[in-house]
Amino acid sequence: MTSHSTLNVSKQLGSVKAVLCDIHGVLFDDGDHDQFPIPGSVHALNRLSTSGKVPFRLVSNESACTPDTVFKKFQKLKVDVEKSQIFVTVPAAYSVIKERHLRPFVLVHKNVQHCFDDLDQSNPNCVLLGDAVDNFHYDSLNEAFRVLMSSPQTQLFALGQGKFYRKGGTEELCLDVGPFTKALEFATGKEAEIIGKPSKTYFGAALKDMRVDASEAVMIGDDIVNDVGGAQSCGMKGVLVRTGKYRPSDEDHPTVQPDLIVDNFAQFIDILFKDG
Amino acid sequence: MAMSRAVKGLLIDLSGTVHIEDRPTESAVEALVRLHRSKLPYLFVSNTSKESRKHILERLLRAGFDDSTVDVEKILTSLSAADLKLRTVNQPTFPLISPHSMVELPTQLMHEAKDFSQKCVLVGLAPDKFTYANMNYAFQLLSSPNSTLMALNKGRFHATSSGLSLGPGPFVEALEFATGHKAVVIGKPSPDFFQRGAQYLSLDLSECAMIGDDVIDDVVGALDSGVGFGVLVKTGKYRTGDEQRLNKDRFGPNRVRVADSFASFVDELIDT
Repeated sequence: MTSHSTLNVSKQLGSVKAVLCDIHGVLFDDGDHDQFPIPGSVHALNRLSTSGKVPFRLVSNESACTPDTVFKKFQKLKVDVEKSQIFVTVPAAYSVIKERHLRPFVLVHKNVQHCFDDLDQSNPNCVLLGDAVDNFHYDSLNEAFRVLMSSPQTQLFALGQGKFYRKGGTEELCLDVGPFTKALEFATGKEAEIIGKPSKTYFGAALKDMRVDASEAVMIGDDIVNDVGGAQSCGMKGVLVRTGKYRPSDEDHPTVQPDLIVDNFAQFIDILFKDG
Repeated sequence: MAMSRAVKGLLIDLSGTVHIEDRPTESAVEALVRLHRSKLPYLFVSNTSKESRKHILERLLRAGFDDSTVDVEKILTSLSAADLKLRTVNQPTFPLISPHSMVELPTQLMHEAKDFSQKCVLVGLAPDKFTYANMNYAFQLLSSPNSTLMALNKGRFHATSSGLSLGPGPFVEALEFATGHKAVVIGKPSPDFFQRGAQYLSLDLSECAMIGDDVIDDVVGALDSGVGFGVLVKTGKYRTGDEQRLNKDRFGPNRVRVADSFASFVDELIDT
């Protein structure tokens, strides 16, 4: 077991050996073409990265990008992370489908449609849903529905289950993949397999990569259910930020109580390094 | 058959049960004539959110049904039931419904511009309207307090000539999940709707039998609402194994029937 530094943080977090960090809503808000960094986040992330004290992974349900595209955006903003530290759902989904020898009907964001091109998509026997935005309409969903109904074995995969996200640079909330997944679950009576937060498999892959136990890790995110609740279900600590899709009602959530709530990622890093 | 003595009236689903698009189901035309002659009262109850009752009547006549056996007065649809509900809510409404359904609704309340003036979203079967932009706008409307989500029905899917096709239900479910709203459902399996049907027949719910091809919305929904008997037919959207979802343990075997078709059930009912 590689020895890592342990930061003894506030009593809410205990000793922290690794950090999992959400991207969208914590570090940046995404627009169509630009990144909108949340104030202080870039500096704070670089602080975490250069300190070398605590390994971290960016664990995101971004389903319209690859580690490569995220890495390039980060480079432009002078963020100091490596491609291998970026976990997004598209490569994970590709692996799952390939390992199980499935032929997918792919309904994802147009930016990542090409990532599945070398999989056999003829006569599909499973459906993969992502944040498809304008690609979601009656005809495409109906086609996905018919694939799912073609046999009891056909499976539905979804890249995350978020309800909505905030469109960067605006106050506008937009439907995410979750509602469309629910639509197909309702129509077919089937349950989707979620590739992404809050799936234990997804969090587990990031933890394994850092060779830490869940109990030694902290996840920070803006989604009370998928980030904070999902992390806690795995045995990690969950920290909620008051940025991104956060809404004040999240602090009175009926089932999820964050271990800590911070104004933003910068404040979290301050707390993490306070005694370090 | 004990049921034939206890059933005083029939609530009959249309699409998938008595016809599929412009064709009657097996022997349905003759069965309806026999039913009509038996003087047992009946009412067609349809979740259609696309067609007016006049359209439905025209379709049934085209399919060959005798005009003595079908009439607009014998048809209750979720559209005709929605009219009253919308007038009660009385709010500007964003309509995710097909253009020719609008005729049966209070047009002065239907407002399509994306100007955030609407306090109500009405969802029916409207394939052309289920775009991401429209769904997103509906979601944004419903994120404000005091907004209402109304569904003409939550049909999961139905049989069409090109195969099974999504109903409005999945789109309503999407909006419910995204916003935390619980839709007001006008048509089956809402108890109000079955109650209205029984009233039209001047009967008690328990004296009625509901016959349909949708195991959940027609049969289980009716039984849950207090309708006396539920009959599942193996036509239309019926899929092998649907019988397993009839929950006979909860309702008791005497209240539940499975029949090959509408015609075969009518034959059994009238002959005994």
